[in-house]
Amino acid sequence: MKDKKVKDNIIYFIFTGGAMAVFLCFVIYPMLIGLRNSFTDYDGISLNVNWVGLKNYIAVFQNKDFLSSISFTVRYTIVTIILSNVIGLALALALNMKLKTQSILRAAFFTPMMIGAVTVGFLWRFIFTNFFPYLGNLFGIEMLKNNILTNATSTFWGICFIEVWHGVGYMMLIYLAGLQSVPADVLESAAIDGTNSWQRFRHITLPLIRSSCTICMFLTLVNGLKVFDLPYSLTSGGPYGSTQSIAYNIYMEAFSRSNYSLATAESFVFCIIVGIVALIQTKVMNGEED
Amino acid sequence: MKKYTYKTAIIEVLAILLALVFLYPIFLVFINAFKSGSEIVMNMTALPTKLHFDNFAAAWEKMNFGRAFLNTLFITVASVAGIIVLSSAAAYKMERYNNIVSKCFSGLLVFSMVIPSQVLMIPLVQVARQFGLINNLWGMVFIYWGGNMAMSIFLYSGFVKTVPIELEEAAIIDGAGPFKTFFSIVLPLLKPITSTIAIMSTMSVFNDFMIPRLILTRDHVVTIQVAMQKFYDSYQTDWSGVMAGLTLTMLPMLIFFLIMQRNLMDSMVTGAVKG
Repeated sequence: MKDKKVKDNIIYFIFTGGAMAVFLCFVIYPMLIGLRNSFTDYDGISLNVNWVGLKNYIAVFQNKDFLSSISFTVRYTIVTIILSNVIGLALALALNMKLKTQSILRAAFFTPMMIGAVTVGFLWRFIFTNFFPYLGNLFGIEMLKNNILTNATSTFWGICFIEVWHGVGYMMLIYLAGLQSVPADVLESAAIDGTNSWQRFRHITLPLIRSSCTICMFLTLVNGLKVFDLPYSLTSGGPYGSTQSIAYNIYMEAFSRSNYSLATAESFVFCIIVGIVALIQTKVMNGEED
Repeated sequence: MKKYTYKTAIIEVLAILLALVFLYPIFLVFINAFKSGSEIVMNMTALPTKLHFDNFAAAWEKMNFGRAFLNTLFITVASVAGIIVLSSAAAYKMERYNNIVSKCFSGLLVFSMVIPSQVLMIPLVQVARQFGLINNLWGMVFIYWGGNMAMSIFLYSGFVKTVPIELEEAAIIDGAGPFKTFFSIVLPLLKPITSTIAIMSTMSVFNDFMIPRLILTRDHVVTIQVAMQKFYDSYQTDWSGVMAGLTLTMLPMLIFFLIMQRNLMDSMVTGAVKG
């Protein structure tokens, strides 16, 4: 009997051990090291490391770049949540109307999602700096002649627009899956009862696709807060640092300006922000579902 | 109610037009990849008059594309295979033996899902250096294994619950050992979620930029996404090279999409809904 128990335990660890080992080594261990570094003056190279208490965390809130990156990230997240979800849902509703080309359109809107975000930034850099001015000169449209990426406001909207272009197909797919589970006969009988299409959408469809909404909101929220690749490859955080996201700022502090421990402290502040926002979002969404 | 009316037709036409606008940037890069630099500036929207394949040859050489592609392919295949084997095995035993170890481990996994990857990014370089994994393709693979465990185990756990335990008991009575039971009975039954996890992790690993950028610094180990950066420094000048480079970078995943299409999109939805 005891032998059987020991054997079971050995088998249990053979099955789970690999997963535990890589997870502990490459997720938990780095996180603990990071946490320790954030309380020291470690600079990435020097062997002489001293404890500095909360100094880094205080410096985080005195770092103007970091504070402005929070502002950019929040604005960007709000705009992309709204645009991605509204456009994604609109596309899903349109495609759900038994369009003949539905499956091709589905694939077409999803295609940008297959391209890595950094490559998307490079691609749109060409469109913004060359193609739009080219169109502007061709048709004599003043507005398009200037490079969008030299003005802070237009760059901000440009980044939001690209993110929507990149990810809206995914949101559309999730909404479409939700819409397809809405029973057609319920909508039909409501139509016979004389409701108009807005009422049907508002009172039947929308409540039934609530879970799709929750998923899409969550995905766009988290992706918005974590945005890194587009500021990196499209704008390099510019013009004048106006499109530095939190993640980009952390990256630059650590690997470009070598403020290693400050960047680690920033990353934990960031982690807490993401955690709190995600918690609030889940609470709000679950609350509405009840 | 769902009849095809003139209204539906208008929406259909509008949707097709919008889809064309959507795909136009990608198309524009494709056609310009075949033009000479001056032709791009003069006639950006026209089809190429003469096909300049030498753009691709130059971009291929500049990015060392053959090497970069093989590196990326190796990292992707090894990562995805490992993620599937490790996470399915762990999820299976953790679901069957809900002991204290399983509980602690799954608690840690759930907790780790809230951590943004940027938090791990900085110390990860340090850890990779400690383990001697800088500029090592296997190092990248191990890191992706670790990073993808939480999500994959979570997805698998939900699915293992649906596998009837009687099947395993029958296999054991028939004399199958624990490994044979798992690989020939349980794993095949998990196939739907396996394909979801395989597709989702393929996409995220193949297109990842930040971790390879930090871990792989030598020329002979870089991935496609990182190699594309070579054009970044001289972005203002060599347009035909950039266009060809972008085309080469995008092509593998677009081909993958063409082959998988429906399956890929369905998997992405399942992954989001279950996750």
